[in-house]
Amino acid sequence: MNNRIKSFFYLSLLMVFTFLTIISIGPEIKKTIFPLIILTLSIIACIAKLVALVKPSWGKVIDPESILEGIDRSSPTPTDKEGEINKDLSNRVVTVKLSLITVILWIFLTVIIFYLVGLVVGAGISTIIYMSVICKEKWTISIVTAIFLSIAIYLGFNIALKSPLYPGLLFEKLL
Amino acid sequence: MGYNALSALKILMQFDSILYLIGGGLFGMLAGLIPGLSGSTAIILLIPLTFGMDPNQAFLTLVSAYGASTVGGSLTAIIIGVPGQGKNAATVFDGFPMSQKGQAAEAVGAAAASSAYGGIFGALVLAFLIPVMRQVVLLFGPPEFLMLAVWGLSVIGVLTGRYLINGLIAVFIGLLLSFVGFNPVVGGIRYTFGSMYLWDGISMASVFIGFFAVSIVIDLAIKGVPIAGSRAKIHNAFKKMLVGLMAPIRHFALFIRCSAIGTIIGMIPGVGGIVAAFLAYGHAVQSSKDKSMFGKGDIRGVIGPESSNNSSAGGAMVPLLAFGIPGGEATALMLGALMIHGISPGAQMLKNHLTLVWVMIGALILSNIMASLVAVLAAPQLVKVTTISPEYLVPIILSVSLVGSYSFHHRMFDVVVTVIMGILGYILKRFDIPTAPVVIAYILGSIMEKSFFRTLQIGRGSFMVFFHRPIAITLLLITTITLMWPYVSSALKRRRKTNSISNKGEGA
Amino acid sequence: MKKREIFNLSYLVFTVFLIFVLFSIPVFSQTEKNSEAYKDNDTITLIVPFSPGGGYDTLARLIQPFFQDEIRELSGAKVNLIVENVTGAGGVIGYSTMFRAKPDGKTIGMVGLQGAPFQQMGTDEFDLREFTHIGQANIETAGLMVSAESDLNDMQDLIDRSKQMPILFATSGVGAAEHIRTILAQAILAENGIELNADFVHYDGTGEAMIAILKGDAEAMISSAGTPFDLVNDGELKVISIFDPIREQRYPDTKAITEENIPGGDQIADQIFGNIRIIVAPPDTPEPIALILREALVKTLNKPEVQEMARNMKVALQHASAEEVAGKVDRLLSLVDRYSDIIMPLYTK
Repeated sequence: MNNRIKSFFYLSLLMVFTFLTIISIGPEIKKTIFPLIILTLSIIACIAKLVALVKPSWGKVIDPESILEGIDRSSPTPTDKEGEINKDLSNRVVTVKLSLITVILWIFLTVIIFYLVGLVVGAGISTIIYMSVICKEKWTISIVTAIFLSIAIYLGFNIALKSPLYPGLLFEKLL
Repeated sequence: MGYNALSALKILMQFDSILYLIGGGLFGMLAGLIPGLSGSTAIILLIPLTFGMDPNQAFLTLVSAYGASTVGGSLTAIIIGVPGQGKNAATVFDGFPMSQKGQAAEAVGAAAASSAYGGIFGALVLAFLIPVMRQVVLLFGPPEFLMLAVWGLSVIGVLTGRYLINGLIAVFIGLLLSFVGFNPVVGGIRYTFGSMYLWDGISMASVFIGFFAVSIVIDLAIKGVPIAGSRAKIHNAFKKMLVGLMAPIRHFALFIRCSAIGTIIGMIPGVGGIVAAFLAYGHAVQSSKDKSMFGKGDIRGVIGPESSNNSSAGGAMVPLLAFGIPGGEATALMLGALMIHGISPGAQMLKNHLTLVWVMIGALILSNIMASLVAVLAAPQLVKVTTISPEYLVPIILSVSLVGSYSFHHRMFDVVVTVIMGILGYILKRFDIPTAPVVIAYILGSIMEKSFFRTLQIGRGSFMVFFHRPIAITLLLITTITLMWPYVSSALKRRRKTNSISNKGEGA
Repeated sequence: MKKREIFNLSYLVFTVFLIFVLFSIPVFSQTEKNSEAYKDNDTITLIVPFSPGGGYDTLARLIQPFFQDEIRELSGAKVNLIVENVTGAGGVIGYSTMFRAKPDGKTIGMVGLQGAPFQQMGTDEFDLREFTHIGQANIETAGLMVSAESDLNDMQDLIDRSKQMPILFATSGVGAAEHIRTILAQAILAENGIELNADFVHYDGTGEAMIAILKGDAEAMISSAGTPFDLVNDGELKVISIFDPIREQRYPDTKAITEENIPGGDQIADQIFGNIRIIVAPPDTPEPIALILREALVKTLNKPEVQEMARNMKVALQHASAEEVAGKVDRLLSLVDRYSDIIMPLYTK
């Protein structure tokens, strides 16, 4: 990930923190003392980070590596190498990789569907859309999975837990 | 006292008691498993069923559900990286990476064993403290809570992952999230932008489920490979799990310390299992020489939180039984249940219903053991989930998690907030800002701020009252040492390095 | 679009339709709407604005099965009464939900008058006068508690001590009932020329607040009289004044505030109370439904089993009719109005 994108990110954070600081200053400052302290520190941290990105030589001093020395820095989660022991070398099909935008759009769509038809039916529809439309899986599999999922959620929440789930605008109007 | 203990044992050995124990326990496990539901949910649902029972059986059912729920929550935390309940969140930090490495079975074994032993530890402490319960609970007040929160925050400063500043920013973000809402100590609504639903702050379920579940979902969807990697196959799950079972024994000192932390924190009303788990995790990291694998699947990162969150259940019952003041949500429900059965907790209960107290302790022990057994037996099958293609996992986890986040308060608003938190969590991860400190800071932030202002209020505007409290001062010292240690040790290391270089130079 | 994609799309539309149909079957198979107030299998939700395990919740769940039976008998329909916790904003979210629910008899709620009138003025999310009142379920006086080791023994001692150093009161939060009771008491005493100096420590609940008093972190709290009962029995706390004209049965040695002849004491006994919990239905609920609910409530509270259970749980059941409740609401709202300049700052920060 290049420095440009990183700088943009920290700049955005800086703007958010500054905005929050501005709205925090007001007549009743007592209630925002703690937030203001934290916001100030955050702004300083963002600026420091931006400086470190722009001027790498300064960066080493301002932004030292943490005390966790001597580990694989390239990833915060286990790398392939570290998980080697359990890998089976037989061939498995790597499934479709998706883009971030697609996934986020799908999640938003899911929430909208929840609002419209409720959580139970929405879970099923969301599943079908993901599996068949996005991942291009066979329709029969996705429909079956969706139905099982919806039934499980319905039984589990509405019946067993007596925790009535949002029925959605559509069903509310009908009832 | 011995007589009551024996009659409690007799009651527990009855056939229908065992049935209730198992039933309540399984139900509690299930509730703990599902994100958004918790042991408290199980208790709420079981209470009406216990109306007709006699108090002993009613409470062995409820306590059993309570004890078993934590184990249930650890399963999802490890296998899919979504904590079933808040107090299992710390288990995700190292439990899930172990899953990603294909070591889910071992992690589940370790969690089950730590939970069982930790739960027993907490129950035993509860039993031993019966005569001195009241004094112990009174030891802690706002100044002590303040220092605990500060200590917790300083400990997570240790867990900053790659870059120091990134970790600090993570802590700050978590703290800022915790400041949203109405502050009952100082008064005043902050950062709600007019929304009444944010009055109580960003719902805890939204933060947990968003940061864990939704982020994982996005991650899985994009990577397109199963949790354990594209070519992983789970061999010998059962054997690996047995290895895991021995883990708390291998790291016995750590296990004892973390269980102690859990029990003590559990005793503090209003703080509870979540904080206990986080502090234990932080302690596990802090106290180990080789910290390199934490966050990447170090089994000690599973032992710590799991022993602590189970032992905190025993701790949480101490103020309940001693004063009738609940240690957390689940014990608040039990208080209501006690009142419905006409039992007043407090010195009266310890005098008149001592057998019931022993039954509850026994139920706590047995339910922990039972739940761990169930987890262990189900583990080999459950860990196969880590090999399922994300096409199935992604929509299922998303739907169930969002439904879970809805069930917390029955509000669709929470679902939206969960999604936002999830996207935020994913973005942070992409930019190397670790999410563990965010979540920990979110929990500890409000405790810290409230305790700070309460300390001031107790001192009537002066903070001097803080310095009259020995426990608080001790914690302050511990925190300072914790914070200073990294700098001191790295300075010493550099000293040694330059000394040896200059020595080499002279020798050349 | 290619042929294959059109095919996929129609598949999608078809499946979505199929699912709709499958899940709509139970919805559409309901029996014909008849003109009765309630039909079989109707679900009435009793909204409790606080978390499970607390006083409101316990009371609601205590009366739930009996209330359900009475409604069934009176309406002739097999209805289900369930308790639902809708928490948040100190109860306001629950009150707001009750206020905006459809007035079809399927939603009712429990309101606490020790807080609601103040919250109404502060948040403007509901109006107690517009609710369809069903009746009162319980009422309790307020009591002043201190640690058992404290050397304060009645209200006069408290006032006297406060002249040297303000009394440190514990509450369950800014704007919570304990806070309001203390501020009101201060205001009433001030009107009568008596100065009560108070500082506050705000906790997250009455339980924590009581522990604070036990520890000595705080000195006193004005709560509902029943709250410290267990700890009083254990000898840890004592109640040193009851804000009522007559003494409280559970604390026979505690003076009623009117006995002490403090200027303003009568007013305090009249206007400050511990708990008043009422049942309400949304505004404009039809009269036939309201009648059924009201009568069902009276009968429930009069049932010997309910009274027995309430005694065991030390919940002070007492019924008052919808008209009486409306009267109390009016009185309280004018009280809030009168002291609005000390109360509003608590909410509108």
